[in-house]
Amino acid sequence: MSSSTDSPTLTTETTQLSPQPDTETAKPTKKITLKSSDNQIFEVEESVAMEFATVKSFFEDSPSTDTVPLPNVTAKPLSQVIEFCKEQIKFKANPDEAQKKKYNAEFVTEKSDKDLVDMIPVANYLEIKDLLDVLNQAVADRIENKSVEYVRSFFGIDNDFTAEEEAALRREHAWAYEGVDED
Amino acid sequence: MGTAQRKRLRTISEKPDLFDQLPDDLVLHILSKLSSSASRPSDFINIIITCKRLKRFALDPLVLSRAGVKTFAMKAERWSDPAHQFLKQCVNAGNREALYTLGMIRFYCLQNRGSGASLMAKAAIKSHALALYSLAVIQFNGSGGSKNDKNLRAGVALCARAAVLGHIDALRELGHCLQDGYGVPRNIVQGRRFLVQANAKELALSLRSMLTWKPQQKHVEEQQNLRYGCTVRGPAITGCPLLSDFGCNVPAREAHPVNGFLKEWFESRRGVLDHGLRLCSHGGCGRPETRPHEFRRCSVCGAVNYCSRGCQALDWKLRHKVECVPTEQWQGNTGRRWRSWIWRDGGD
Repeated sequence: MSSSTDSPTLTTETTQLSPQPDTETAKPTKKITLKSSDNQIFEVEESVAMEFATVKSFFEDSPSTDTVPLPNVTAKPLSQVIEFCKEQIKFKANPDEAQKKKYNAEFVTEKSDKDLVDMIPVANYLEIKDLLDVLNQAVADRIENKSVEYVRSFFGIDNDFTAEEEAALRREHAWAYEGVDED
Repeated sequence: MGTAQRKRLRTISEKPDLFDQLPDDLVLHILSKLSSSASRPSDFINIIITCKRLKRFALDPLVLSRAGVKTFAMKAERWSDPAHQFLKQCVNAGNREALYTLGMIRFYCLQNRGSGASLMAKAAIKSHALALYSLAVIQFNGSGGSKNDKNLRAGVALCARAAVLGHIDALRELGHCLQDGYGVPRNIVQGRRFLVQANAKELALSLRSMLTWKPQQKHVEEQQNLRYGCTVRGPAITGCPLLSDFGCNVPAREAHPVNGFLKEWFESRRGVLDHGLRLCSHGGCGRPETRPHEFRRCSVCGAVNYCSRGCQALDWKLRHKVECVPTEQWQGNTGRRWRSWIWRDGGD
């Protein structure tokens, strides 16, 4: 399904390895257009788009369409998700677990908290399981070894416990707080 | 579920509520990741205190069933009914680590032998190697019963299952049993083969951990222990440089947190060890005797005692090698003592 190029990498750049590097249109790497909820257009290679289970099934249902509307997805997280999937396809063609791990780690560390959390529903909607795993683990890592207050501000949670309830909970769970700095 | 509440929150909140964007199943997924990768109990318990929605999700069986071993790494001095309750909730969610941890605590600390052993058995059924090995130790020693309750064949069978799952101490124990004809027909060649396998596995494990080695506080403490000589004992000792049978030094293996709990329990005032009962001399074990003279002594000096050969082998390299001094006793009866010393000394 992917393409007839024998190159191990299938990014946008690989089109240039095909016999006629300049003509972008009539090439083995078919492009698919994704439209975000804020009406931004993303042109991605078919192989990348097929990483999105949602888009894939959309195409299986109606193969004639060339633009897929994504009503639940805004442009910024979508562009980041596409960036991630492009890299994953390289690793698929050329498996290197160590490099993949390194890339995945770097991908999440450079994102802001908000970007991370914004991407999670997108990865979920598009059904990209690997990315969802990476993102959820990254969020879990960010709230590890932090205070309750930090976790609240991370998610923008309003504390809906009364002062008494919270004090009781803290007393009850005092067993878990040996040697932890209250910060 | 919870939409009304979230709507209410949104009206109160001025800041963007990232949390509101996440549907319930994704929050559960994140919390499952957190519970399995948490490096201390507070990492996870924090979630329970943040807000009602997160509390409800954190205590969801799906999340509790994924909780990792370090989520239960509680301190003995902090043991309390709510801590017990939390472990029980995780046990009910089918968490193997919770089954094993609570099983060990009930069996050894709370001296509720029946319930402790049955929890460990449930973990063992779920292929928890440490639970299988701990049950083997109980069978070999007849812990919780009399000398006549030792069941060597059951101990060997449990060890064999733990060894198949890759538990190194179990493999070593099995090797010794075969060599000595202890609970199993004697087969010196096969026993020796298992001992070699145990050492090979140890080497593989340590090489892997060296490749991912990161300098941490723990290692600094370990290095200090080395600097001050092997006789320093303390909570920092969680394993030891082993590959002992061949006299090579490899980095420590990390002990299960429940071993630290047991040790603290009996060394602090929390647990009372009846008169004449001793702890396993291996600092990273923490198992107490359940009746006088349950554990076997070092056959050279008679000054230390161990619950198992696994602990003896670990402690030998870590500490006892430099301490062990033969006494007059050594010529005496060796019936209840370890017989593997000569072989071990030869390999060193």
